[in-house]
Parts: sequence; C-alpha cells; structure tokens
Amino acid sequence: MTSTDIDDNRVLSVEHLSVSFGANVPVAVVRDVTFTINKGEIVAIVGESGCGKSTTGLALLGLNPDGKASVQGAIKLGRKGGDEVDIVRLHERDLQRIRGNDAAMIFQEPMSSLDPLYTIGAQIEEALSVHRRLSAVERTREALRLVSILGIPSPEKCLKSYPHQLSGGMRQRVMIAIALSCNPALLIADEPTTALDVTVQAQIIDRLKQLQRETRMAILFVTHDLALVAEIADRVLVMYAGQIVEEGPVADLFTRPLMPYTQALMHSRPRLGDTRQRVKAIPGGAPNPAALPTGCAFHRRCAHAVAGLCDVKTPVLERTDDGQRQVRCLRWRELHEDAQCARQLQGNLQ
Amino acid sequence: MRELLKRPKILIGVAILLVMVAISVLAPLLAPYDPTASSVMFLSPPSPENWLGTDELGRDILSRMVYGGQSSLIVGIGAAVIAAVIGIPVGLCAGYLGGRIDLLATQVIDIFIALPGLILALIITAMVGPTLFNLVLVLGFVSWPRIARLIRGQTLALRESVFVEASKAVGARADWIMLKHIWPNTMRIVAAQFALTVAYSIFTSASLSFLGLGVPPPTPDWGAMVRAGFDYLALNPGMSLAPGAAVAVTVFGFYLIGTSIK
Amino acid sequence: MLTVIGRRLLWAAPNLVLVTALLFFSVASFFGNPAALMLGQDATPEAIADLSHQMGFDRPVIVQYLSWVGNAFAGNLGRSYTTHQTVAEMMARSLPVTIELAVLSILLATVVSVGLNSLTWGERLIRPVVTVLSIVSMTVPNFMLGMCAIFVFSVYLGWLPSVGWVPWSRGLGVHLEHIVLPVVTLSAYYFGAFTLVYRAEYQAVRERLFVRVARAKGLSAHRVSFRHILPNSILPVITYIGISLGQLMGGAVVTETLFSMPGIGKLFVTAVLSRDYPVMLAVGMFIIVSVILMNLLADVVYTLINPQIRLN
Repeated sequence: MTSTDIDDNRVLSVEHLSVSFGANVPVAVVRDVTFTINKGEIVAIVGESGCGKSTTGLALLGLNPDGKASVQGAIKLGRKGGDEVDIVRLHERDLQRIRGNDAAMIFQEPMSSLDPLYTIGAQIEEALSVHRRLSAVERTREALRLVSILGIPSPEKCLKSYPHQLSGGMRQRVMIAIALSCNPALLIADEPTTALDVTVQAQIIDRLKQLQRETRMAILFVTHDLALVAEIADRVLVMYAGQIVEEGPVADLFTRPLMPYTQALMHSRPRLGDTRQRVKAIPGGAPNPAALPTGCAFHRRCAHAVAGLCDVKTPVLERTDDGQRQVRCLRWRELHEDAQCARQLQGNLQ
Repeated sequence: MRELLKRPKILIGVAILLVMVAISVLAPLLAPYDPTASSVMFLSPPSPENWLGTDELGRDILSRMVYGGQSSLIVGIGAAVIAAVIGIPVGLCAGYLGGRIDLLATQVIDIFIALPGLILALIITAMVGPTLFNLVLVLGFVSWPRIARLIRGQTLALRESVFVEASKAVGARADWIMLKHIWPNTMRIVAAQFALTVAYSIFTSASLSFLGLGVPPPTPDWGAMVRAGFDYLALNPGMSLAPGAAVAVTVFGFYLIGTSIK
Repeated sequence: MLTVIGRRLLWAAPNLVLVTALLFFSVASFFGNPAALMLGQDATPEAIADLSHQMGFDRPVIVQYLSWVGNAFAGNLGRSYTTHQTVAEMMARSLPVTIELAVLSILLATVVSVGLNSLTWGERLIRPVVTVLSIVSMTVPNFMLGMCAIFVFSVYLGWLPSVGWVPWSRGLGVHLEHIVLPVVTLSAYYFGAFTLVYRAEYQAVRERLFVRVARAKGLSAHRVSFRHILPNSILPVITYIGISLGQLMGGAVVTETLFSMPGIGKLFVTAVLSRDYPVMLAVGMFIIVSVILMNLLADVVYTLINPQIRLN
C-alpha cells in the first residue's frame, strides 16, 4: 500500500483479514492482516511454521475448510474482466468461477497433489475445460504447450503418464502448468519447492521467474526460505503469530531489518563462509495461537524486549517516514536510531 | 468408564436394554393374560380387552409379546456368553503362543467367518433339533470365530508392546503375563463385541424362528409370532409388526451399546 | 501376478475339502440312517439294513463322501425324497432366481449407497438422515423390513404384489413389478454396510491434497466428489461386495421365504424342514463352496484393482 498506488494497478487487496478455527473457543490463526499486491508484482510472505501464512494463502481462494474456519475481513480480488469481488462475501458457486481462473494456487506436496487414477493429460485438460472454451483437440494441444513451456522433456509421453510415473520435480511442474492453464492474474504459491531437491528447486524457480516475466502475472509466494525470497520477491511481508510484523521492498528489508524478529530470522540462516561455530537459532518456540503472550507476541523471545513495555503494550503496524516500510514493534525507532546497534547488526548480516 | 456413560448413544442403548430386561423379568406381572391360554376369540383385532388383538389360536398377542422377550434375551445373551467362553481362550492362545497353533486357529476361524451364520445355524439346528438350549449353543458356536479373531488381533498387538517385554525381563511366566497385562486392555473391545454378538444372535434366532426352526410352540417367541402373523397381515398387521418391531428395537439397543463402547 | 492368484487358489483348495468334508460327515452322522426314515416306523431291521445296503448307507462315511463328490462332479446329485425329482434339476431351476435376486440387490445397494453418499456429503441436513437410514437398515431384521414393505406397498397401498417371482415369460414389466420388493428388502442391509465402509474411505480421501487441488481448479463440489473422490474411495466397497456375495445366501434364505420365491434359499429351508437329505446335502454343499469361491474371487479382484499392487 505505497502512496504511488493506483486502484487499477492493484490485483489483490486484503483488508483486516482474520481466520479463526474452532467452534466453541475460536482460536485466531490469522489476525488483522492487511496488504496489497499490484499487477505483475511478486510478494513473499515469510515466517516460521504455524505463523498463519499458509492459512492466509488458502483464504485468498476461499479454500479454508468449510465448517471449521471462520473468515472475517475483506479480500478484494481484481478480476480479469476489470471488476472487483470480495472473496469473503462470495458464495461457493461464484468462488468456483474465480478459482483457477482469476487466481490460481500451487501447493507444497507434489507427491500427493495429483489424482493417482487419471493421466497427467486428463488432469491438465480438466483444468482447461472448467474456464476455457476449447475443443477437445485444442485442449490436448494446449496441454502439450503448457507442459512444454514448463520445461518437461518428452511432453507427449508425460501427458499419457500417470502421476506415480513422474518424479517430484516433474509433478510440481505439472502443478504449475495446471495453475497457469487459464491465465490467472494472481498465482498463490504455498511453499512450492520446499519438498524438492535444491537443484530441482532452482530449475523450477528459474522457470517460474521466466514465465512471470512473460505473462506479467502477480505472485504471492508463501515460504520460510529467506534465500528464495531474496532471489524472487519484489516485496516481503514477515508474519509472526498470525500478524504482519514487518513489510517492505526486499533489498531494503534484507539490509535493514527493523523488527527484532526479522533481524533474528536473518541471523539464524546458516551461510557459506560463516565464521561462527553455531547457527543462532531464535530461542524459544512459536507461540500457541490459543494462548498468546500479553503485549507484543514476540517479546518472550526478543533480545531487545523491555519489561513493563513490551509485555504490556500491544504494538501496532506503523509506517516508516518514507512510506515504503511497515513495522510492528514498540521500540523500532529507538533501536534503529541507535546508530551503533544498527551498524553492528548490519555488519553481522553481511 | 464414567465418561463412557455420558455419551448419548450408550445411554439410549442401555436404556433400551434395561427396559427390555425389565419387561422380560416382570412379564408375569405385566402380561394381562396367560400367553399360552388359547380361546375361541381368535384373530380378533385390537380392542380394549386385547390391546394388540388375539392370534390364530385366540391367545392374547400383547401377553405373548411381553413373554416373548424372555426367550430372545436368553438366546441372545446366552449365545454371546458361549461365544466368549470359546472365542476368548482360543484367541488368546492363538495370539500369544503363535506358531503352528496360531496357524491352525486362524485357518479354522477364517473358514467359519466366511460362512453365512444363518445357513450354518440352519443346518446345525436341523440336525440337533430346535430347543432353547440348543439354540443358545448353536448361535454361540456360530459367533465364536469373530470374537476369537478380535482377541487374537489384540493379543498379537499387545504381545509386541513394551510392558510385556518389561514383564518378561523380570522373569514372569507366560500365562501370568497373559492374565495380568493383556486381559485388562482388551476388556473394552471384548465388551463391545459381546454386545454386538448379542445383537446378532437375537437377529439370527428371530430369523430362524421366522423360518420355522426356532423355539418350539407354545413358548411365545417373537420370530415365530411374526411368521404366524404373516398370513393375517391384512387382518391385523400388529400381529406381525409388533413382535417384529420388538426384535428390531432390542437388536438396535445392543448395537448402539456395541458400537459406542469402542 | 498370476502366481499370486495361483497361490491363493492353492490355499483355498484344502479349505474347500475340509469344510465340505466336515459338512458331509456331520450331516451323515446326525441323520444317521435315512433308510429308517424312508421306510417309516414299522420297518423291520432287515428291511432297513437291506435298503441301507442298496443305497450305500452302510459304507464307511469317508467312502460315502468320496462317492458323493465323484457323483457331484459327474452331475449326479441324487434324488429328492419329497419330490422325487433329481436334485440337479431342482437346483438348476432355483439357481437363476437366487442369482437374479442377489445381483440386483447388490447393484441397488451399491448404486444407492455410493451415489447418495457422494451426493450428500456436504449437505448438513440430509447427511444425518442417511446415517439414520443406514443404521436402521442394518439393525432391523430383513424379515421385518420385508414385512413392513409388504404391509405398506401391498396390503395398504396395493401398489405392488407380495409374491416375489413370476417367470420372465410373463413380460418384463410384470416381472420387475414382482421383484422390486424382495430386491429392496435384501439390499437394505448392504446399503447400510456399504455406507459405513464407503463413508470411512471417502472421509480419508477427501482430506488428501489432490482433492484440494481439484477444488482450486474451480471444479464444482459435485464434480470433485464424483470424478475424484468417488473413484479413489470405491475400492473397499468393491472388496466388500465380493465378501457380501457369499454372505448373501443367508439373507436370501429369509427373503425368498418371505416373498415365496422359488430360489436356492427357499429350496434349502424346505429341505431342512422336511428332512430331505439329498437336497439338503447338495444345496448346503453348494452354498458353502460358492461362499468360499466368492471370497477367493473377491481377493483376486482386489489384487487386480488395487493400483499399488498392480503397478508394482
């Protein structure tokens, strides 16, 4: 939500999204999340497991389990025809028109993401048949084309194969092909490469970047892998305990993380050439959403927490003076303006 | 145990069970007439004197219904007891001792489980003659394999588990281990299967009676009453439908108990 | 894979022999000497011994068994004591009736159970109704269900006849009209059982990722249910069908008696009640052998269909 935003440049606007589970005592897994994605932009959501990033991704297509999740807030999606809809308000039937069409999603587990009883071709053509008007012959041709541009060798053979005959990397490419089949304006990628080999991961990310450049599709990348974020994203959202705790352009955020949690995340990555003996893990564990700490959700694990402040007052998301960044921390200005601390942290990060 | 009793399914099942048992036990007090007393007023429709009417021999249907529960419950529970008495030791031995004993037991169990219980019961009952005692034995004999298989499975699983290892390490004897450790854990499963066996036995004995091989007259028996009333369905449907419903409700009660204990 | 089937067949053979022998021995010993029954109360011991020798009842039981089996393979199953027709003839006439009843019942149970549960999974109001229906159909004895059906549709409404069988020669419509009630009655229990089995599997499959992926494509709930969840959940039902075909004999006995259908079940009951030894023996053997073979078939079909086993 930068000040240079124009409405029709936006493809997604999430406003005060909250997702709770449980009927009797609802537990909020996503709390008051607000962000936008512009056309052609790649935005990453990072965080530890359980911070609510996957749930947020699912909510964007209304895919949270029906009776069990309660979704509040607004998710405004710009459709291909130009109009805007609120996902939260839509009925299932209207959601079906959006899914795969205006916005599509790819998931983490390639091994179980395809129906074992149908061929690859059948599953891609099924996706094509939902939203596009093509003859049977055209569908097959298009399936072939999709599979080829994803870099799958021997595309004809692939279409006739069954999922169990393909490797994880192949299956994930098929997944992406299915997601792209109806030319969505927004792709939601929920940890798509986490379950893959590093080399395969690199290939797929390259392919994805190339396709994104060609189609100008927006991508929301949900991940816990900071290296990946640095490589692919334009903007980053850091989530902790269901909230956004920091936001900004990727280069700036990586070089100048303002929120202690983000700083700790950067610290905890093992890197080549690191002279430290041990990886600095963040002490403690992610908080239980049913029993959040008082005040700032991170204060118990924060190196800069001040008793009487951080455990009592709840921080809000503040915007930096240049308007490019947002931070949720009671002490961020103080910590940032302490030039000595900031430079030392910078030194450790590089 | 206590939380079990709080669940509605069990409560309904136990309630049905208690009502049925109460009616059967208190039959002499509840039944308005002697169930075997025939009269000239045969096939009369429901009336203030005979709430369900009279059957083809002039006997009061309601009284026969009330007494009919006795034989059903005796057969049902008796058969389940027999099945348990045979099945549990067989299952325990097969599961714990393993080896050739297990192989033999499994073969026998598999054969019997595959055969339709009603057919087996028909054949055997025809051979030994239908009396209350024989029915209990036959239906128990038909049902023991299922219990045995269940117990065998439980025993096998428990045999591998840690605390049996620990007991052995301390030097306990094989049968002491069986009794002290394996038994309490399988009691729940046994109780559930017991209830289901009662349900199945009542179901099957009613079917046998319906086919003509049940408890011999003049003892009132629900299945036989259904058979007798079939010819007069247009005249007095209650004559068949009432005892049929009684069987259904009783079976349902035990089924509820059996499926919710698990 | 043929070796798997072959091995199963090999295993089944001793079972078959064992069970049929058991049956034969027990029937033979309990019914003792049928010659005495046939000749009646006043027969002299010599007359009984004579007839026994003539009919071969004085031979050791094992010999009797083997000779029976030998004859059976040649197609000679003896002659009924009550009707004096050959048992083979009686069985040949009754078998098609039972087969038709069994096949139609299983078909109905499968289609209704799988179809209904796939259709109504998400419907919060209809699902409990289906649950209740399935429990009722499994606990109410089928003679009671049949009785109620007859009462409602035959006696009270007069829409359908209460006799379950007319020959095909009378016309398709008439034939179907008569067989509807028995088929519905017999299929009721299996509807309940299949519902239990299918729902359990459906629930598990529904949580798998490819179902979520299918939804993310924008497919309607019904399309996801029928095209993706159903085919992946049907395997346990198919296995159960195999086992049920054997068990069906038990249910058919009662249904055929209730609806006066001239099938194998009714034949068996009549033989048991009238002590018609040859018929009882032959039909009993037939039922047991077919149950064992059906289970074997179910096993084999499962092996064939289960994609994991097949593709390894």
